[in-house]
Amino acid sequence: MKLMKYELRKTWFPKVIALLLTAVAEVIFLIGFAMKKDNMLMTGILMLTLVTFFALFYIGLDSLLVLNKDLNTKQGYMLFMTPRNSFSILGAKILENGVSILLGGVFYLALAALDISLVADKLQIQQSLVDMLEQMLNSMSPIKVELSFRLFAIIVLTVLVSWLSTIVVGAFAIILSSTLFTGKNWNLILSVVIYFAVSFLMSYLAGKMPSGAADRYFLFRSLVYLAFAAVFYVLSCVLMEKKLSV
Amino acid sequence: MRSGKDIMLSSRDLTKKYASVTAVDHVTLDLEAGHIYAMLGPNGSGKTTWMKMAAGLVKPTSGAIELDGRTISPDTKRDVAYMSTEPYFYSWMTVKNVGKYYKDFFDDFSIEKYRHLLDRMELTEAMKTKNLSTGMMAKLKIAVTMARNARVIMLDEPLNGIDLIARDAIVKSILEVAERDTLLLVSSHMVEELETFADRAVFMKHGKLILTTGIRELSDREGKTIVEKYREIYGHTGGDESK
Repeated sequence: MKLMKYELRKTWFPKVIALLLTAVAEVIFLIGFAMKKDNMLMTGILMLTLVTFFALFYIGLDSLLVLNKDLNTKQGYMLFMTPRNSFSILGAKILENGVSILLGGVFYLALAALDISLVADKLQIQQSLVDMLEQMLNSMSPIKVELSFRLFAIIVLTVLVSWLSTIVVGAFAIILSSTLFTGKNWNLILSVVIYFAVSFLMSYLAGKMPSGAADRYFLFRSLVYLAFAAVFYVLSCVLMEKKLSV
Repeated sequence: MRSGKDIMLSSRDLTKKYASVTAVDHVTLDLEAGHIYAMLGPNGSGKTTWMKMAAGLVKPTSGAIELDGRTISPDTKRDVAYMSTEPYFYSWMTVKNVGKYYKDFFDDFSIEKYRHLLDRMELTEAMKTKNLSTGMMAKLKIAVTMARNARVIMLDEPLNGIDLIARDAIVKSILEVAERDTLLLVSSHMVEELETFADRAVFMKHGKLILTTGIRELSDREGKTIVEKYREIYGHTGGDESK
């Protein structure tokens, strides 16, 4: 918990910026809606969409940037001089990231639901929004998706687990380059290559689920991502414990 | 000071290589509890790398390094307080945050002692670490490291960038620690300064251990101070420092 507290402290600044930008976008949206100014309303919607996308993306990425800083600058002494093993250190980083993404996701989802319900009530477009979401999911997956609350929850879980595995594989690539290839010119390139190779393999295996019900399809993907996350978490920790010098 | 052979920190054939550079080269060294060791050698002699391996920050390429017979690990970090020569605090921290951080992670950290040392070093808890001068940063590193009641304390260049008055305060703090059953290892370019409080000296050169000696024994045996011995070892061979 103490490690997590400091990981949260290290990454709070981008989160505050994201919240401020979200607040500005929301105010523009609400003013546009209340005053029936279409231009403002559309600007608000566009800003909210962009801020949501970039905020969630950056919150996820930020923990990797902090990890890179911890491994490659003297600031890392603060972390690695503590009597904590690498499983706790990396675990705290990944957990902090997962919690941040989850809370961020819930926050933006709730905000989107609130704003959509506001507009939908006025314009009576609820069903078309659900249809639109269903169409989008169908275009992204090779199986037929009929949206229900249960399936929606499974899809959210799949997205979260897939993001978690992306972060763990990213962390593994950074740890590998900082551990085994310190001082080599090609270390960063190699770690990027490793990252993409592992990500490709992960996506390939996750897509191997035979056709069937949508919920089983997404659950299978979650399991594959979870297995990759677990394997690469253990690999990263062993590397840190045995070889990492800061 | 104690005189018993109570080996606390030891390395066997310890080697650290960075690509083609050998920073520490097969060093076998035993350090006993209850002594203050001066670790001496010019830049690049391997002092810092050896200390970082003892602190668990750098992993050896080969050989072994142990604390009380236990291989250096996250667990041994509970007993080792290491002060790096480089600043390492998070930029968002105040002096107070630094104390809280140490309190959170080290059971042997005394917040009262930390405050006392801050007073002695003329630092206040409200100061932001990113705004500290080199000298103030050095004082903060000393204060937070010495506020731990660790069994091994390693100070890498603690007197760098510090004025004469603050230096006296640091030496006083070091001597207070020496009263405990602690192993204190101090590296510094200020060899004369070290001679005032250290009782043993470790000489390193090009990553190798050259000599370990008691300072009084050196005087009795060869009639030399550690400054004279330093000049003898490094003076004629192009050591990259004057003393």
